[in-house]
Amino acid sequence: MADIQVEAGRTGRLLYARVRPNEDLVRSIEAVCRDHGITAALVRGSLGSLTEACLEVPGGRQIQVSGAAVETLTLMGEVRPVDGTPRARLSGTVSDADGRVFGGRFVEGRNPVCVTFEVALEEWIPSPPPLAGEGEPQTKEKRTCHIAEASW
Amino acid sequence: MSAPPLRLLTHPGPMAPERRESRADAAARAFRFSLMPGRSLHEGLVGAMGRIGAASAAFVLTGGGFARLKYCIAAPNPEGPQVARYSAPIPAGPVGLIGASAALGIDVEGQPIVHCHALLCGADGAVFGGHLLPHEAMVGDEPPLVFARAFSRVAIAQRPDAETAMSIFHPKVAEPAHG
Repeated sequence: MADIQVEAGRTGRLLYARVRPNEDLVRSIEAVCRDHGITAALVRGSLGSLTEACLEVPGGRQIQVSGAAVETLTLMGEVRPVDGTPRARLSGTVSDADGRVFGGRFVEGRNPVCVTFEVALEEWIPSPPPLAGEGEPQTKEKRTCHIAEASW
Repeated sequence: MSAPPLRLLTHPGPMAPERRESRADAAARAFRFSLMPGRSLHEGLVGAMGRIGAASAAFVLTGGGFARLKYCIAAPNPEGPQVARYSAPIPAGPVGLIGASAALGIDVEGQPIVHCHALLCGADGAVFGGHLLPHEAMVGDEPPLVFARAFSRVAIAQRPDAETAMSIFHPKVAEPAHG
């Protein structure tokens, strides 16, 4: 069985950002992190509307949600560095103008902001990995992982 | 297959050169609380943040429900000038709260204002949601749980926005609370 990779860390600065119309949701969240020199972050809340939404659903298909505007209802996800550049992976739910709700992962470059999009991001600061032979300082975390593993 | 062109909208006002605004706060505080049964979403969030002395905060809410509420979704606005508007308020309740984000900010008159988007479910389990009217979302017997991040050095301020012809939240440096 593959080991679960557990990253220890702590949270740092809290950002509040506002994105203007026609900007891409995913790329703007990445850009906000770059503006502050942040490479990893958690989404801690968001409010906004999109002109249309493009969501990737299980199987890899992309669905298009259209309307006068598309309201985002929930948004969760993180920003992680990929080759040193912050990349956002964001999932959530949206409502179209008929009140139908859709969910999936927001596709980069395909989710233009309608009127405004606000997002709170919390910086994630990974702890340096423990040195080899340093003992077992993370016994408790490892035990928790085994329980989680068993339940999957 | 190439992707279809993006539908972009032309807003009524001049396009602001800065396409995003953000502020970082190294002194934000974290809190957990429940809304108050029988009281509104607005009262719960404003009351809790008033107790700890925060004027601006970001919230994640989950669980519990509202006895009744009204929410809006986006609607066309053919008369303009704004590219879209809110629909007429849609009443619902009792509803369960699956998840929501909210922000507490300062409105154009300096008063606290709550903005909240929520994913809800009805008695049949169907999901729906939108922009909640915070004064009219009345908490049910089992209150939603709130995780709050309260800003110390950032203020979320509502101000008129020329580009969109709407009043919109934006982050700014907080003015010191005392002198």
